[in-house]
Amino acid sequence: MTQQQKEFCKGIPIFSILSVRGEEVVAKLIRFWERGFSNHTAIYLGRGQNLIVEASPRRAVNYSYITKYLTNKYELIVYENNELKNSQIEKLKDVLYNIQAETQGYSFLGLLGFLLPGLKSKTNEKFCSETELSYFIRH
Amino acid sequence: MFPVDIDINHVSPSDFDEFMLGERNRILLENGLIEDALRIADEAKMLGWKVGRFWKRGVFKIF
Repeated sequence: MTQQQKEFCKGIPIFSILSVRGEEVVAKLIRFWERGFSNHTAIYLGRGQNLIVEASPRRAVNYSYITKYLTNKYELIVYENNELKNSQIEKLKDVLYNIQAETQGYSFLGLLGFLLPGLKSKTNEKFCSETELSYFIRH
Repeated sequence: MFPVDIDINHVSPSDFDEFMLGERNRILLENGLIEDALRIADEAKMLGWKVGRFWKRGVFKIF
């Protein structure tokens, strides 16, 4: 981890929402279609290793590290919440655990729903922002 | 519309509001894909979510 990455990560509250803007072709296509700034989202867990939770085609909803987005190839907005109480944090830990445990695959069907309204994700599959929406709904 | 070419020295949290509550959620609503998206984004803001930091290809700003 570089000094720059350490400085950036210092003090990010647990359960912050990461909004990611990449330069890959698929990332650009997603942004073109959604007319948005970002093409991917994740939830920050921290815990000393700068863990995040995200939905990805390769690994469904799983853990990774924020450092993979802190490079010259990405832009990142961190939405933070410093007003969470300990009881809310404990509840959110359960919520995230359940989302991860019950998600068995990445929702390509849900993504196609952006092009073909009517197509929806199966209950045990999610794409990235759908994971975060589940988190807000149950929060 | 969100400013794509952001000057990292002059960016402020309010620059991100349009993204949080704007075009993306409007499209989701119109398509009926995630009907609660706008309400959820509003609630998120009320619950205290704010832009805390911004990373742009190796340069960053902490608000």
